[in-house]
Amino acid sequence: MAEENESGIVNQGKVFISGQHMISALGFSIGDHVDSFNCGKSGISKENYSFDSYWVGKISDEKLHAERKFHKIPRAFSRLEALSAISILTLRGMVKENLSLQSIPVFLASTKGNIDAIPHHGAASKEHIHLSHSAQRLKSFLSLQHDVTVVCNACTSGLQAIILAARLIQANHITEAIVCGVDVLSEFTLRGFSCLQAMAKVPCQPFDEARNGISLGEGCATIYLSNNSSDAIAQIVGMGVSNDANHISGPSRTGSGLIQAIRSAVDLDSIHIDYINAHGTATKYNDEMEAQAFNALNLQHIPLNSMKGYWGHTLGAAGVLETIAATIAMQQETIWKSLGYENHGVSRPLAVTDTSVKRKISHCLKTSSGFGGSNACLMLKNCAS
Amino acid sequence: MRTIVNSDIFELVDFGVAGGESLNQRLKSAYRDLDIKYPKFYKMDTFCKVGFLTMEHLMIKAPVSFDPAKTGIFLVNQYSSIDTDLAFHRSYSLHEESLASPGLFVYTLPNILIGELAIRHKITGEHGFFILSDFQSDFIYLYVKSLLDSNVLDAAILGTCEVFQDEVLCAMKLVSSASVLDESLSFDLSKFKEWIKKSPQGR
Amino acid sequence: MSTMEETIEKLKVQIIEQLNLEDVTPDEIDADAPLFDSDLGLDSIDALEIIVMLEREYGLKIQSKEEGQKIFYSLKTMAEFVTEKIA
Repeated sequence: MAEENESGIVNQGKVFISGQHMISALGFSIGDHVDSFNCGKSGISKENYSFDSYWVGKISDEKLHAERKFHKIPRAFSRLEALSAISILTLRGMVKENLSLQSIPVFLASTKGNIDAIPHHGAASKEHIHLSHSAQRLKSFLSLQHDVTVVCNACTSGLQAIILAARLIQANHITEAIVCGVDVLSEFTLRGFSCLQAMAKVPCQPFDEARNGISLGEGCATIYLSNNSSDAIAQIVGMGVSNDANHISGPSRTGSGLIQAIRSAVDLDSIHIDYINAHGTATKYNDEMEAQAFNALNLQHIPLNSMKGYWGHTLGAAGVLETIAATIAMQQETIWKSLGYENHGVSRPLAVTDTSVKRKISHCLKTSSGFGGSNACLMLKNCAS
Repeated sequence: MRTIVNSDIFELVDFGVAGGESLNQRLKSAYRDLDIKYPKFYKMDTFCKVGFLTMEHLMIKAPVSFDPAKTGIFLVNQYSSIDTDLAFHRSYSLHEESLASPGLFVYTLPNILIGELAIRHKITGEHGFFILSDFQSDFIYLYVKSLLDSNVLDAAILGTCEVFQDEVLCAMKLVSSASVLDESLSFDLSKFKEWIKKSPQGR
Repeated sequence: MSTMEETIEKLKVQIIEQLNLEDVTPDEIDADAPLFDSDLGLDSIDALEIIVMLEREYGLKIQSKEEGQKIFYSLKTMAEFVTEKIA
């Protein structure tokens, strides 16, 4: 059933999300997360490291330990590998009875993998530093038929992995997929963002006047995609990926790349967007760029939030974690408060939620942007009714 | 260093490790040979320098121009940006007083290469960097094919760039809806290496 | 050469090295001219690298990019900052 839209783009099969699982500083279940969303409770806390202290979204070590035992995760598995395995296995248990993982293609999104495995003063001979090695381990442990494909594209990795899988389903090359986004806190990344002076001195405040940087977070989120609409939570009805082609670590001032990605994902004249789940990292530049882009597309009146005030910037996990949050918002007819936002701090208007709102959501736009000039977005349609 | 091109608009550059010059010196000479004014080249890490030079040669050969918003870049490798990751790690851990380098940190992601190429050639379409444990992945090839077939893209640059220990290798290919996607050359690194060995020297 | 001139010349060499300004010679840098928004093509990452260089070479800590912006206006303002702090 191919339809051609105004841009001459041919859409074929349909893509549905019908299973999801999330792990973050807020907990290991969707229920844990929803409780925190409803209370406006943040999972960001101050952690002390040997080299400095930071506000971060840290996953509970105790809960992780218990989950590792329960799922019989090999001791040799790193934190990141354990989280991925736990999340994929938990999702399998939820989706359908006896869902056999074997033949389902798995796509993993991560920016740095086990980067802290780099030995001091050593060369990268230890294979477990490499994401390719983590991918192999997961493949073996989960007895997967296909190699695990890793998407490593900075902060847009999560959405890009979803888009990769969705495009393959649309084109009928595969009928289903598991997409898992994961990243853990590491000295490497903490020091990195710190030397860029991009770390917030308080829990991050997306779109707020006082914002001064990100709160790094760790997360692992997994979704099940297929061309089958039964038990569907949401449908992916539009996708877009673009490059600013402007600067390797700063976004385009005009948001031109994000504008292009959104335009290729949705015909704004025919679809009304009810909710925008933005990237909102709380850096001066990112949030300002998003404000420019949304205004250029006349979306400034649409209720918008960033979920990063709840769990921090989870890098490779962000796109998947936040897509799940968006679908839950659609199911619960609630656009939660954009935590950390009190005073409008971008130069263009935006309808950032300073309190949770009850709203029927038929269509939600999820966006991400990242280092390397990447932008990605999904148009999600509510399947709850 | 050999630059090998075949008539199929395929650029493969083997920077090797042979010869007295250090890799860095060879990359700088290769840049100067191009005679372009792009001082940002010198700020790039080795990984981006290698990819940048390869694409410069590819673009010189590319006979057609495509809509930049419908051109994409898709790169694959096994070791991500590990060479630069190690350099950044050294910058803060070598001595107690070592200070982390922001100029290095911004390169500790393999997709930054895509960013540099996008900036240089003004390419803004769908793109992605992927990591595979072996290079025979049908999924990336099929993904790019689906983008070309469904008119999301008119052209794509596919390739691999690897800088890891002694290995420095980059291969890029321009494909368009008009050309046939050569399945046998889709990200099979061992095939690329065989091809380098069999190809004649020089350009 | 006075201390200020010596400091300026030293900073020129250090900046060229730290920022990989390969095709630039010290003579080509005008000490009074703005460093940013100039032909040197320096960006925000370069500003952060200068901050690291000043801490490593002179033990001077600059806490924010905003503080840095005033100090880095030109090589001369940078030399003035360094000379003042070291004295």
